[in-house]
Amino acid sequence: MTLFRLALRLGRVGAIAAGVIGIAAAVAQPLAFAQLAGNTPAERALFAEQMEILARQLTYLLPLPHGLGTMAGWIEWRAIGALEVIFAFWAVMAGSGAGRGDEERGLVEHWLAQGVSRARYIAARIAAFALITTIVVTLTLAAAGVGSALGKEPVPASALALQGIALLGLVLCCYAMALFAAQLVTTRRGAVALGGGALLVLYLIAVVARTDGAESFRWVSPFWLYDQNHPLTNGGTLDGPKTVALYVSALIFTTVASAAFVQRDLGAPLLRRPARDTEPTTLPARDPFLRIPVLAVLDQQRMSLLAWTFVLPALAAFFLSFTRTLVDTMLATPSFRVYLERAGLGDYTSFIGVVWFGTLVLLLSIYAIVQTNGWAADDQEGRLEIIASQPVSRTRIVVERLSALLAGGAIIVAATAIALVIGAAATQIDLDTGRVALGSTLALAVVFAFGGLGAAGVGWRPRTTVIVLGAVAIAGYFLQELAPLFGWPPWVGDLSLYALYGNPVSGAVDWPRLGALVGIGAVGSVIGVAAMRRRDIGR
Amino acid sequence: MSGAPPAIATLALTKDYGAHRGIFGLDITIGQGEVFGFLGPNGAGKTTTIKLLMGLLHPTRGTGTIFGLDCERDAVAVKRQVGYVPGEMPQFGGWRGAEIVAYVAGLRGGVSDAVISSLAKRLDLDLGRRYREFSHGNKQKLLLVLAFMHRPPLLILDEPTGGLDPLHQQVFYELVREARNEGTTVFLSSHVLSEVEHVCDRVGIVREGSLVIVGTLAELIGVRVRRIEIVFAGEPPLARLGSVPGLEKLDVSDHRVTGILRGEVEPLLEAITGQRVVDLHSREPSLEEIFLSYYSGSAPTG
Repeated sequence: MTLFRLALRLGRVGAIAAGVIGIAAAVAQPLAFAQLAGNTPAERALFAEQMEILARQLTYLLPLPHGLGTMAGWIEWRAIGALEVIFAFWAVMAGSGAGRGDEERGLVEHWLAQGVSRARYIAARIAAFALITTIVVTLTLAAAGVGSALGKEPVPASALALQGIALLGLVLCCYAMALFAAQLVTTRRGAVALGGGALLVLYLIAVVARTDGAESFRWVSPFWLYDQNHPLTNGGTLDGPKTVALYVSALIFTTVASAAFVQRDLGAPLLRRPARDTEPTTLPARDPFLRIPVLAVLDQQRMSLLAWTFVLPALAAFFLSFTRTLVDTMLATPSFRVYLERAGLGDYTSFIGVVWFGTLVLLLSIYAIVQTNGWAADDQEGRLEIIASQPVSRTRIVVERLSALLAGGAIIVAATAIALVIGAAATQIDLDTGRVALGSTLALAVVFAFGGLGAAGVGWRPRTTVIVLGAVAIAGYFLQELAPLFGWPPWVGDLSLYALYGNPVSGAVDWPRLGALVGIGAVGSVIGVAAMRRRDIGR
Repeated sequence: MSGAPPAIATLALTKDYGAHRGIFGLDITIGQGEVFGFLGPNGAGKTTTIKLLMGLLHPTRGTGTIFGLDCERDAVAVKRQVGYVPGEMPQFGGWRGAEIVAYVAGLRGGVSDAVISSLAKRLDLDLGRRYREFSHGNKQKLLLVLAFMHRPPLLILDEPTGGLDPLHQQVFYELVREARNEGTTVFLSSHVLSEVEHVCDRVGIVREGSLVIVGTLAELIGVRVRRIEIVFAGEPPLARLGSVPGLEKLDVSDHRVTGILRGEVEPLLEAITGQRVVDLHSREPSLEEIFLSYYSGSAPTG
């Protein structure tokens, strides 16, 4: 039982994050539907028609919709459909953590040394995740039920329960695959890459299948199997065989993963390559960047920086690929037109300025939070002690960290701006390059603000700082998104840190607010330097 | 050397964590070129002292200087003079050993690749491998390379041989001896008494946050402490033995009496005068026994 409790404890952060996102989406979307869909049958029919057009543009992200003129259909498509990818990501992180991450940290070795059998250990991890997932899925579907009731169009609990059974099957299947992938590699990073990569391929098969492609092999994708369930819509039901297939797949992969874990050596992959006889090296690395301040920090982060520099421009290009159709469709929908006008999104440029740049600053703040997490890890894992025992001042350590953060942010922002400009030209959207450059450059103020806050907090409470910054980012994003949607007073939206960034691409540049953003970063940096100078290291 | 500042000097150096944890009122002076062993049981305050000297911890009271520079105020200048092995292994994940060395050498500046290569060869360390693939001993070797690579005038080493096999422990002792021959001062925290005997000129023993004794090995061994064993033909004169100054831990078994005698032997001989003694042994305790007596608190302080 102790082992099971430990397994529950190890999975709590991911479960809380997934649960919060799931519950927020499941409550917010029914309320949004009540606001936007209209009340008369004619308004509903028009809304459903326009949303169907929109949905065809969004099959990359969401399943095909059914019955969009109803609250149940909207929940299935917009609320629960959006959670497929998010929950799958959570499952990959949890599966790779259980299968490899805790082994990297030495926890597995410790537990096995206490006389716990490998089979019992892995069974406890799987059972704990199954229990956690059941709770998260139940709460999410319950939140959807509450949301639909608040929207005065309640969805039957039995239908929500059936949807939950299908969703649970999908998440468990993804977890089992990630757990199996973790047996084939030696690091958690490798497990995430392999498991996440495999699931991405399976997801893309489901995406292709949404437009009637991949007919001969779409059944291999758990996402496609899940997409075939429509228990919420009128006349729809749970697809028994396909849902059973999800659970059977989960069972097979967990069984194989467990057997692999029992068979393999700790710290080694299931299939080990024979060691190669290589010439030992006794010289330091020739990489010149490692010896140059700031560039050394960036050099150490080169793989993750490369990933950020690839993913954000790819997202920008993807966003532009559907911007024209999306804006046209939404403007043609009376209720959405009201929303767009209220949010100042009446044309392509303002849509890109608000929606894309709103997303960009959120992603950049996540980049800054990830760096803050790295600073906390430097401290906890003893690297800071090694650095601080060299002839470098503590002030330099903080300044170098922040400089590397801004330099990395600048590389990402520049690549994203280029992708945006090229994408706009390709989709024949007239976008002011100068404004894009300005908006992109000013986005660095958000990176600086989050970096400064991170530097200020990480010396005192490393883990708490990361969690608080994450909460600030998520709350700020939703405040900005939901305030115009629900007609909240302007000061509510202004509570968001992102409100200080404003909309420099399609609106006026609010220099005082941007100055405040830079001021937050500067004050945070000064506090960060003072904290670093005052604190003990390596206690 | 007489005009040169000491390599390390502390004055009432204190780090108080509360609940009697930390180091209290440490006064110690270590001359240039000395190899100083710092001993004590776990939790005695050895690592805290070392981190205070390195400027990683801020003292609650008192000061520490290295070559006349304040450990806290002149921390950067101090660290130019110091090579450091921490007591706990850092984690460098997937970095290669060569990358770690290059990065730290870059922070320090002016490090010779030839010295790094020579150290790695002597310690039989392949820098091409990833840190996470290193054994415990190889991680320790990497830390030794980082400490010795810039040929510092002072080495501060917190249990530097942990995880090293006997062969590479010998290499480490050679490195320390060579460094000493070049005038380097070494401050070495250790649990390994043979290590202290091998390389240290002077030893300080710390217990429960306080320095209990400092001296050369010869002084410590030469402290007038003897283990005494006397076998009497008749009943031992316990009353007279009990009044002998410095005779402690008396243990009587039939006609055999054992104990520890601190100080002069003459009062003991006077006490047993007139008794028929069958056998008498007096021997110096081993270095280990001396350390254990200080560790366990049975030895006098000062």
